[in-house]
Amino acid sequence: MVGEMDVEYEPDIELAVEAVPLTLRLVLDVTRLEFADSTMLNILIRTHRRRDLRILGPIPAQLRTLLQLTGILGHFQVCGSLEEACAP
Amino acid sequence: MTQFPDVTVYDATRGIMMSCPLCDRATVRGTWRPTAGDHPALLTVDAEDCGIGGARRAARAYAAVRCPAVDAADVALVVSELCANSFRHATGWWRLRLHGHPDGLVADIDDASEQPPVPRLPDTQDGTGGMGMLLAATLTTTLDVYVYSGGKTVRVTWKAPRD
Repeated sequence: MVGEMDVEYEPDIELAVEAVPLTLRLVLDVTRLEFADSTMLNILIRTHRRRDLRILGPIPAQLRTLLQLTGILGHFQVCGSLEEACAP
Repeated sequence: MTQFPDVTVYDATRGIMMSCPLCDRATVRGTWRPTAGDHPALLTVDAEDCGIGGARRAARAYAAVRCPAVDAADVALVVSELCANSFRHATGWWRLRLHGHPDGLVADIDDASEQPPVPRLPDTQDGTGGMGMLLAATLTTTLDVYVYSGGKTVRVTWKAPRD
């Protein structure tokens, strides 16, 4: 994901997530995410509930603050490299 | 993050309560009225002119210039959350009005729904929402809702800490 993410882009992200078969692991690269709000958090939570999700970091400061503030940072498996994210 | 914030809903049919809590400036039907000798530095962004991203970036820049004592990143997030609420729960139309002082900021987000925000717990398990309003209340000094005929205004303020 690149750039800023808010409610107006929610359908685009959901469509991109839906396009990946449920049997495959989803690796979400957030390193170039410049802005996120609670819309993004809800997408992350919903995706995490439904399927095998790993987040490819490092997580940008703004998103990290938001995840910590809402207390859901621990919900997700955050990986530092693509190799780690793709490991079984 | 487990409780819904105390949101006070005011009946603003007469519009009297719309004055700025930081100065004597008042609004009449959504337009800020300049006070004598004052050159208002105001920001108004309408959904008909640009998207939520534009409002957010404008608010961040305005806050950084007009009121450096307040965290501009907080202002951007709160504006994004409140515009998203209007986008999602009202008719889709919103309008942001920002009014700044060196020691504080006032942001009004108008929409065309007379329904005040429905109190609910933030859903951190299933991701169905509820976090935006709590974030907005957490990151601001005050959050009030004014309901009038034809719409409502969510007003948030930031007051710079005195040192």
